[in-house]
Order: sequence, then C-alpha cells, then structure tokens
Amino acid sequence: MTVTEDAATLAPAKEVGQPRRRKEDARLITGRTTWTDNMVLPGMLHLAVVRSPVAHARITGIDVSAAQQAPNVVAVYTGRDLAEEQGSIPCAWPVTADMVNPGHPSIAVDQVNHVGEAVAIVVGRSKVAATDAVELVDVDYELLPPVLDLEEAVADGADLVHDQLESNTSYHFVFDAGEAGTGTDTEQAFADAEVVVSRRLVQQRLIPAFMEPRSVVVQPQGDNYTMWSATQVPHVLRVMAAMVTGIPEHKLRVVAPDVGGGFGGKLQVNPEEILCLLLARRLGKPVKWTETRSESLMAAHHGRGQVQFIDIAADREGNVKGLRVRLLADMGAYLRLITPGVPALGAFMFPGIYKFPAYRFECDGVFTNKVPTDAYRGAGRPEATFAVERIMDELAVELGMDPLELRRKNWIKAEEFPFTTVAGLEYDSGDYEQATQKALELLGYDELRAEQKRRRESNDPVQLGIGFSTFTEMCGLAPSRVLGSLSYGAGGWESASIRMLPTGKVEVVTGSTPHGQGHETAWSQLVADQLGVPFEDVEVLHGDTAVAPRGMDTYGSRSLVVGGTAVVKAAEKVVAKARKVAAHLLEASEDDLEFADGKFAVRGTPGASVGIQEIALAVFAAHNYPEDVEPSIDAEATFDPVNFSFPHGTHLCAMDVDTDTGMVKIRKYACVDDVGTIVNPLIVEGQIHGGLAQGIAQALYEEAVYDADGNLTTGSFVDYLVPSAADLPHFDTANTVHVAPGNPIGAKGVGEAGCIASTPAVVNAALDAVRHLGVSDILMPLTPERVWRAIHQGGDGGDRATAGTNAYGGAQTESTAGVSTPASSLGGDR
Amino acid sequence: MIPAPFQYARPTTVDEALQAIAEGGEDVKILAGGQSLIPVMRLRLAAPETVVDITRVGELRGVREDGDALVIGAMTTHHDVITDPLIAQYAPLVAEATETVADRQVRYRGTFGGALAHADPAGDLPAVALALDAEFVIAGPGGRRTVPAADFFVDYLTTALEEGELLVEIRVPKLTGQWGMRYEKFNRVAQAWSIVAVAAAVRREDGHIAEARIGLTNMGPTPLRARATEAALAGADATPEAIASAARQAAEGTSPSSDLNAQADYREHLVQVLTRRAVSAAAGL
Amino acid sequence: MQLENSFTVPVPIDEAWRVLLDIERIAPCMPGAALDSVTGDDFTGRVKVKLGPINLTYQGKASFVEKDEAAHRAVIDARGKDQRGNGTAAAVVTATLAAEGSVTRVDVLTDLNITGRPAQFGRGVMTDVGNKLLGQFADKLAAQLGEGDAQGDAQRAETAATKAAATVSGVVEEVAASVEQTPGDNAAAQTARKAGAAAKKTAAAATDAAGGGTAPAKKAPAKKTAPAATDTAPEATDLAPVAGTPVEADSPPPDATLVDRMPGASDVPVRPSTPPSGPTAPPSRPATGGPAKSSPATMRPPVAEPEPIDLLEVAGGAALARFAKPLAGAAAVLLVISLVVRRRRR
Repeated sequence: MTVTEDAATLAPAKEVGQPRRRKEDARLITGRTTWTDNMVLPGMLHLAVVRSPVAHARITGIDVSAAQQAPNVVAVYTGRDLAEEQGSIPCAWPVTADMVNPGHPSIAVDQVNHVGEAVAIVVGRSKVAATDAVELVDVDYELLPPVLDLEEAVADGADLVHDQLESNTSYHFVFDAGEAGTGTDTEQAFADAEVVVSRRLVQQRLIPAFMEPRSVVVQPQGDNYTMWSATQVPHVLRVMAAMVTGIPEHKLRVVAPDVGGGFGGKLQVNPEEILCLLLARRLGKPVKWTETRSESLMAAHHGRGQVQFIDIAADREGNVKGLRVRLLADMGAYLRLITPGVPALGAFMFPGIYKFPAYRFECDGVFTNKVPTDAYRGAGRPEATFAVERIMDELAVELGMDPLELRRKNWIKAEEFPFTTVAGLEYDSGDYEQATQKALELLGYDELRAEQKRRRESNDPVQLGIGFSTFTEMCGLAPSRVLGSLSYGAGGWESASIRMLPTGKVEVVTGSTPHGQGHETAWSQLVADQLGVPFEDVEVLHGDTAVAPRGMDTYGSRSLVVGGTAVVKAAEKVVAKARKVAAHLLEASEDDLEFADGKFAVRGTPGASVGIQEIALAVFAAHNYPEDVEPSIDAEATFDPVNFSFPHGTHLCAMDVDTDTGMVKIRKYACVDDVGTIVNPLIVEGQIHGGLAQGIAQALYEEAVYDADGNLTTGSFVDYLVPSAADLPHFDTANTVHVAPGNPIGAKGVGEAGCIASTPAVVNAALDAVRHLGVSDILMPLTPERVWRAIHQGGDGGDRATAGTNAYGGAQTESTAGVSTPASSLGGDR
Repeated sequence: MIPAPFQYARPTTVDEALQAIAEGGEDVKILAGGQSLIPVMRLRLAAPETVVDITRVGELRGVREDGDALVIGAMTTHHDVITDPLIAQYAPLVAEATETVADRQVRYRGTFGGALAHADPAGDLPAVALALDAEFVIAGPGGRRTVPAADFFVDYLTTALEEGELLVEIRVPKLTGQWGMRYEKFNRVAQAWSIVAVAAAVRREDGHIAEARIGLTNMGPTPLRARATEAALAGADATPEAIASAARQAAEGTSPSSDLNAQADYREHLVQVLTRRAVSAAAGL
Repeated sequence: MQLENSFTVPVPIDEAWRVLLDIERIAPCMPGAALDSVTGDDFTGRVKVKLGPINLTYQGKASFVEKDEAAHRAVIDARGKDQRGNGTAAAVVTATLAAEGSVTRVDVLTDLNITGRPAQFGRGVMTDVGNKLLGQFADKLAAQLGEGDAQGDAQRAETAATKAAATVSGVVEEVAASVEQTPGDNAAAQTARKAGAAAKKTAAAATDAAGGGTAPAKKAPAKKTAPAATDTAPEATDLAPVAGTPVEADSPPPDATLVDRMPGASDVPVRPSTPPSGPTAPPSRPATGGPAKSSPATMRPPVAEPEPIDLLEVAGGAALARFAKPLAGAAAVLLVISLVVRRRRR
C-alpha cells in the first residue's frame, strides 16, 4: 500500500500506468466491510428454501404443517401461496421474435424442472429455526422423465421439459454472412472447397463458483423497500424487480454493498431475490436469505453448456474459405436474464482473427432439466474462441501444416485495421504477429519444439505438446444501438458523476458496480490524472441506486472501457465548469487559462493560478462566482460507445502428458495480451492470472456433472474441482499496446481475456502431445482417465457420468447360494 | 449450513471421554479434528445425538518412543506429525503421506487418529498404517486392547472400533535396516483425495530387495496390501525390470470402485504404475 | 445406477418362484429395515442406513408391479424419502428365474435412483453402498431361495447340523464373506480362526447385543430345535463344522466351537474383526455347482425388532430371516433403496 506513496506528491508522473495497489483490498480481504450477510436489522426474519431433490416431477402434495408448528417458525409458503404475485423471472434477451419462453416462477407451483428448484420457503426468527424446519416440509413428487442430453432433447419424440410446449427448442437463431451482406454464400464456399474438416466439440457446463455466496436482505419501510444483494447488477435488478413484483421503481432501492466475486454468476435476477421482496412485503418485516455453498452450486445459474458442430473449409494451400457453426446451447430448465443471449453473443466471435470469406451460424437454444445457464466469464466468447482455435488446429493437421503457419496465413494483418469481419464486426486495432512473436520468445518455443521431437523419438512415456490460441474477443459491452439490433432489452451505456467536495476531496460516482475488479483504484487513477488531484483524495461510490442512480453495472469487460470513459467525460465537464470559475477568480479570459496538474494558470503570468480543489471550496462558499453559471462544478456524464473494443493476444501452452497415467501437467504457459492502454498494470496482471486460472480450469478440472437422473453429482467442492494456486503453473505474461480508438482512455477491457484465450491453448497442447498416438480429441475437462483412455483405447475419453446414475454406478456380481463372492461382498465392478 | 441440534461434551481426559461416550445416548460421534465429521453434519447427512469433542484431551497428543515402536497419540495433528523429529527419523513414510493430506488448514486441525478412525479408503493414512504394520490401541469401558492394522480396517468407513470405544494411540514399529520409503499419490488437484495412492517401504540388502511392504489407498473398501507384489519383490534384484514385473501384480486382490474420478479398470491400471514408481523410489532407483 | 446380481440356487425353478413371491420371506433378506404395514402386494416401511458418519432413514412404500409366472419374472417398485429431507430413493428390482436343470439361475437387476444430498457426490459412495447392499440382499436371497419350500417349515431346523456339515465349505464362505458386512459375523469369522476358549466370555454380551429375545440362546447349542433358541443356535450349527475343514485346521473341536460360535455370530460389540479381503475372504466359486444350500437354521432371525434395524444389531450377514408375522412383509425392495450400513466408526 505504500509502493507509490510518493508518486502523487512528487509527481507530474501520471497515475495512469502506475501499478497502484488496490485501495479497496485491505477491507475486502480482511472482511471488515459490509458483505450482505453481515447485515443485521431489528426484527429481521430468515428464509430457508426447500429445494427439489428431483429433476423433473409434478408436485402432487406439500405438507407444511409440521414445519409451521416448529419452534420460531413464522410462516411457511409454497408456490401455490405465491403463485398470484410472483410473476416470472425476467428474460431480457429474446434473441428471436419467436423465441419460446415458458416463464420462470421463482418458486415452483405445480412442477419442478431441475434439482434445486425452490418448492417451499420457511421463514423463521433465526436462520437456525428456518433451517431446522426445512426438514419438516414433506413434498410428494410424481416423477417425469428427465431431459438431460442436448442431442436427445432435440430428437424426434423426445420427452419434453415443459409439456405445454411443442418441443424442447426455445429458439433457432441464425446469422448468415451471405444474407447479412458481410460475406459470400457459405454453402457455395463449402461446395467449392478442396478441404473440409468437421468436428463435434463439447463445451461442458461450468459453475461460476464465486467466493461470496449469494445473499439478499430486504427491508420494508412503509411502501418503500430497500434490497441489499450480493449482485453484480443493482441497477438492472432494480428495474427488473420492480417490473416483476409491481413495486413501483421509485419505491425500490437496491444496494450492492461490497460483493465477493461474480464472474457473471451474479449477473442475474435471482428467484430468491424476488422471493425476499415478496415476503418482506407480505410480512412487513426485514427478511434475509443467504445461500449455502451446496445451494449455490445447484441453484445459481451455470455457464457454458454447448454441443458445437463446426465445419471449416479451405484450399490445399491453407487459405480458409468458409466456416459453418451449428450449436445446441443448453438453456437449462428456464430462461433467466440473458440465458438465450449468451450463445448469440458468441455468434459473432467464431471467425476469430481469421479472414473467412463465408460464415454461417445457427444455434438452437434447448431446454433441459438442469439449472438454467447464463453469463459466465466470457459468456459466448470462450465457447466461440475454443471452437475456432480447435478447428484451426484440426485443419492444420489435415493439411499437414504447422498450426502457427496456418494461423499466420489467415489472420488479419496489422496494416488491415480497422477490419470488418465476416460477422460484421469492425475490429479496432492490433497486431497479431507482434503479440505472437513476443509470446514465442516468452515460451522458449524453439527449444520446446526440439525437446518435443526428442521425446517422441525416444518414445518417452512423458510426451510434450505445444498449443496455440491466437484469439480476440469483443469487449466494452456495448453500443446500445447494436444491442437493440440484437433484441437485447436494454442499452450498453454507462454513467458517472463527480462531486467536488468543499475540502477539495473528490467523490466519483460510478454506475459500473464492482465485485472485486478494483474500480475504486482504477477510477481514482483516472480522476487523479484528469483533475490533477492526489490519488488519495478520490473516493469512488458505487452500487447503491440511491447514490449512483444511473448505471448498467459490471460484466463483459465493460467497466473501464465504458464506465471509465464516463468518468473521464464527467471529469472533463468538471474541468470545463471549473475553468469558468477560475477565469472569474483570476480575472482572466478562459482562453488564456492552462489547466495542468490540478491548477488553472494564466498563460504568461507566473504566479497567477488557482487549484481546482480551491475552486471547489469557492463554489461551495459561493461568495464569488460568475453570474452566468450555477455555484457548482460537479458534473455527470453518460457514455455510449459506438463500437466494441477488441482485445487480442497469443497464448501458448506447453504441456507434459504422462502416457502411463494420463495425467497432464502444464509445463509452461506464456501469453501476450493486447488490452489497449493499461491503467493499472497490477490489476491487468491480476485479471489475466485469474482469467487463466478459470480458463485452464475449464480445460483441465471443472465440469458440472449431472447423472442420468438429473442429480448434480458435482454438488460440492469435493467433486467440482476449482484449482488452487498449487495446481497452476507460473504464468509468463506480457502485453503489447494498441490503443483502442473507440474511447478516450484507449482501453479495450481485460476481465475475460485470460479465461477466453487459455482453454483452447491448453487442449491444443495436450492433443499436440499425443496426436501421434492417434488421439484427435479429448473431452474437457482433460481428466487423467479420459486422457489415458483416449491414448490407449481411442475415442475422446468418454463422458464421465453416463455409464449409470449417481456418478457412474453400475455393478455386477455373481454369487452362489448363500455365498458372497469377493465381487459382491466388496462392491467391486466387473 | 447448520447442523441439526446435538448434545455436546468436551472431556479433558480419556476416562472422561469414555464416560461421555457411554452416556451420550444412541448415536454418539467423536470429534477429533472434525475435518470429515463437521462437513457431514453440516450437510445433515449425520445428525448425532451427542458429539464428544476430544480436542482438549491433552494426553492423546504427541509422539514418543516406546522401545522398538513409535507411539503417536491419536489427537496429534497432521501438522505435528509432519514436523515431528521422531517420525522423521523412524517413520518418514508417515510424514510424507501426511503432507499430501488435503490442504494446510486441514492439516492444522485434522488429526492422525481421527483420519485413521474415519477409515476413508481414499484417505492417505490408512494404507500407510497398514504398510507399516501399525497397531491401534483402543480404550473402552473394559480397559485397553491393541488391534493390528490388518484387523483394524474392516470396511468402507468402518473399523474395529466398537461402540463406546476410543482410539487413543497408534504404535508404529521402528524399522531397522536399510529402508527406503515413498508415498506415491495420484489426484487431480492438490487438496483432493487420492484417486489411487501407493505407500511403499523397501528394505535393500546387497543390491537386492530383501523386503517390501506396499499399502494401497482407494483400491477397495479398506486399505489393502499388495501381497502378490510384495511376495514377488522379496529377494528380487533391485532393478527396474524386476520392480516393473512385480508391480504388474499390484492390482491382484483389489476391488476398486468406479466413480467420477476413475472407473475400476483405470484404477487397476494406475495402481500398477504407481506401485512401480513408489517401489522404485523407495528402493533408491 | 443399475446393479446386477446373479446367482444359482439348488432348487427347481417352481419352488424358487414360490419363495420369490413370498414377500414375507424375501423381505428380511434386506438388512436394516422395519415394516410398517403389509397389504396384499403393497407394503410400507423404513430403512435405516448407516455408513461411517452418515445416517439416513428412508421411509416409503413398495409393491409388486409385475408377477409374470410364465417368464418367471417379478418386478418390485419401491420408493422412499429420507426423514431429514435429504432426498429420495427409488428402486425397481427385477428378478428373473431361469431353470438350469434341477437348479435355478436368478438374475436380479436393480435400477436404483438416489436423489438429494447423498447423490451429490462424485466419489463412489453411492455405487459402493448400493452394490454392497445388493450384494448382501442377493446373498441372503440366494440362501432363502435355496431353501425352497423347506424353509417354510421351521421345524426343519433340526436337520441343520447334518446339512451344515454337508455344506461346510459354503458355510465357511458365507461366514467369511459376511465378515465385512456385520460385526457379528466379523467376530464369528475371527473366532473361527482362533481358539474357542477366548470366545466364551463373549457369549453373554453377544447374546445381549443380539437382542433381549435371544437370551435363551445361551442354552441353545445342545438342542437346535428349541424354539426360542432358533434365533441364534443355527449359527452355531453352521459354524460348528468349520472346525473340521482344512481351512480352519486349528479350530477347536466342534463342541467348543459350537458354544463359542453361537455368541460369535451375533456378538456385536465385542471384538475386532478382519478386513474382508484378509485371509478369511471367501474363495470364489463357480456360478453353478455351489454348495447344496445353507443350513436352514441360518435363516432364523436373531430377534424381531420393532425399530428400524441397524445391521449391527441384527448381525445381518448371518441371517435375519423371519420376523414376527406383522413385521415380516416385504421390506426387501425398500431396503434395496438404502445405503449400506455400518456403524462402528468411532
């Protein structure tokens, strides 16, 4: 915290670019702050939720009498009790006009559609009382066949998740570059192609696994309600909760206090948030709900979940000719806030950094009896990046080309920016060659290739592979008009205001609500530079709709690019207003004033200057200010970007694969990211590291596994393997900087880059290590067993849970009368 | 999560503990380090009538010598086991395996005796105890008795401990001669349980292997000895070929389960590879 | 998960079929259950499951959903809920008989579905537990079917000694196999290896542990036909021949063993036991040509318990056969849905 203590005082040195330690971290990591679950209000009641243990069933009876009579239980409610007022969890992204949305009750009324769905709520005077009484609620279910597999769900005659619907398909979304006028005819391109490579790739379901569990407190005060929630999106939540419950928006205040991570998992209007609001209204008392980790894993939304059919066309020389993508995207049982939009957002990123002349994308959103999917770090873009980076490797193999050479041959050249892709996006800036060269050096590429050769020749049991991912992504969500064209239910602007306090201190109000990103530090750096005030004099306020009334919150690597720009623009307005006051005080013309290092000085008149912090006091006193202005230099601004920004980079992974056991181990990982201007290198590095951890985790560790009955068998961190630092390699990171032209900061966004880029690099590396052994695909995560099976038995390693229910199962025993065989008595399998 | 209500006793001596257990009603659970029991209680998969917390029974902590054996108090924490000089000297295999148990936080709380009494076949310490022919000293209402490791582990999560009894200490014979040891653990992330693991102790004499003791983790409902491999190694040359050949018998007599991490046939394969590696390392190859 | 068990019983198919449909006879083959009611083909009850620290009690109902005489196939559907709201368990058990000459092959296919918290683990707990439970069920069912109609006659117990002697190897195996399944058997197995003298002192405690109703068993060894003694005496007869087998060459003479054995079989809290895979583990046997049959006496229950049964208390591996009539019904399938049972953790 003292690293750059002197910088500001000494300093004309700019804050932007300084590796400031985050000013918010001390309170966050010591817990000395108000996490939502820390809230204690007089008379507060506690909710506990009875959840369905079955994936698909009609509720034939709920007996709550025993729970109602339990000590310190205030009330017990079923879906039937709340059916009239609960409305539906909103879906803000109807990606097609005819998208089918079955509605999403916060609490099941007649039917449950996934394990973990709420079926009753117990309200108690203490959390203990409510939790104890959950055991006493007796629910009868009439089981229905669970729909779990995407490909089976869309087959003819499939069982239906929602039997009032005609099929399990929510929507069919198509983007055809030929029809859009951004490319040539895709079918023709494939018909003419010399080489076509087709693959079926699987994006497993992931669980966001944020550190702080979801938590919500609602306090009623007359006809006003205040909701504290561990959410990424207090502003979105306020609008949506008002619409769902009928509580007028101006009577509802939503506060996201410090929030412990989200990764998209808290970009949601949660059923429990609505339920708390309904119960606070009904009971007239504050209510609180905080989930357990088990509830979080099974009932908070998941991410990913796609089966990808991808075809690539090329000529023999390796020039790509076309790309065709068909997705089955797992919606889960219902559509939540942007469930259908996630794969649609990815639609535009499948072409990656390559100059495909033709492109067609089709996606079916498919209902299954699982918890809904929704945003998870990258949201659509990791899926797309994975598919294109994997298929490029497959094409290289088919052509007998070096995978890097193939990429180089097809990627957009530095001099071609801005470049409009076949998907119609205008990539802003970058240099893929430069980033790649730097990454190759960081990795020590040539040496590793030589070692790989040696190992292959000596038939070493530990084989080495190198994987590439030369990726880009779209960040800075989002231009509101573009969102409108994609039928998204809101805009993508961001708002900020700056309040100059009498003592010269500065309050920055941002509509972009942080949940661990370090906004307070980065915004302070921006404002310190803009206003010429010390870093320490800036306080950043956020997350409370009463304090920061306008905002679009934090997701999609948008905060700095959009929210930070709003801050900069507000600061520019502050300076402009202060300039008038300064001219007045200095008795000079505005045109003669220079503003630097926080002071307005009269050009050519040494000593005649006034600081902006002094001006703040002057307008507070308001004894002496220009007649034609208001006595305030506060300002606010709203920024709506014109285009996305497009960070890019080259990620290289060197992987050891132990062919004896199937264990894979990252030998070395090097990445060079171009995220535009870097405001704080420490934060950028931290974001890359965290993103890499999550992207590598998708490749190697994490998978939400449902058994054949729809139970989530990875229902705790025992089985849902989130890696720790001990499981991850050292990361060699570096940056190139190509300033984003779309915003005054020049930043492109960094929150998702590591997560998007790393997954295909890791899988490509593993495949590169064992491809000569006949392996062409291994399902993620690359468990040792899958890798071993792929090497020794062929195939892609197989699914982990379909052999039986309850995580495998399936056993046979033979015994003779009255006699246990070793197999039967010891539980052994045959 | 919040456990179901339970009675709680916190004795300070073994006698008090036995009394508390005896008086605890029908379903008594003993809380040692609590690293397995408490999660299960919080999930409400267990709802004991009484929890007898023995963390304050000081006489159960610590490591001492007793003739040709080390005596490890049941309540000695994993951390204390790892840092204990006597264990480092006479039973380094115990320390090596304990270092792989879960994570640092768990190792500060979890106890040697607790882990053994829990008898999780995926736990690391039972196979080590079995390989080293440890003995378990059990206190009960009628006095103390000693059970050899081979008889202690009865089944999945089940030991020879009877109702009303308490594991008080574990006697680990000091090995004499030129012993090498290795715990070869195979898991996916650092804090996870073993998919399969192999504990090997090998005594070398004049360039050959005089004796090998091999304990297997998670190859059945209890820890197992790789008897066929042990027999094949007895008197074998200390060569990679001989070891590899013997290790191919490591899956004999095992009955591993199939689960999300591995199917049985893969475990049977793994145990051979890991046995080869563990024995090779223990033999100094 | 699907669990398959197959075995062969030395009785003709029609006889085995009759027994299979007699829910009151096959129900007790599942350890750990209590029946609440039996109405025709429907029955309700509870299954108490203990596994290390885990404790679950499923309450529910079951019924025959198919009795196909021609195909010799019976299907039982069972479902229950955990009393603490930890989820549900459901099982469809399909038992199919096939004549193989004068013996009958039995295939039991169990489709077991567990929901809720016990299902939310990826480690093989559920598989192990379900498989083990089914293994136990199959073993006892095999024994029960193997007795054919004869078992219906309680008086047949007097022939136990000779039959047991004739089928000694099978009995040894059963006892040994049961070692890992119930403490009582564990103790038995151990005692089988050891001298009988040491076991004497355990007699009283063992009998007590088996339940108040077994008290008369103390005097049982001499007369297996003593009605009150049938609970535990049969064990004694089973094990007595052990002494004579090569397997247990150092066993005590039959009489001594008999005395020791009886308590051993039902002796719960007394002594440690060996792991199942130890030297006393059963040798594998071919699927057919197994022992003629277990002694009918082995099927006598130690006692009828009104409460949900913990395996420990029932010495389940040995035999829990016949409860008092009202309790006797059809818990078999209900039990299928449960987890395995084991208590002695610490």
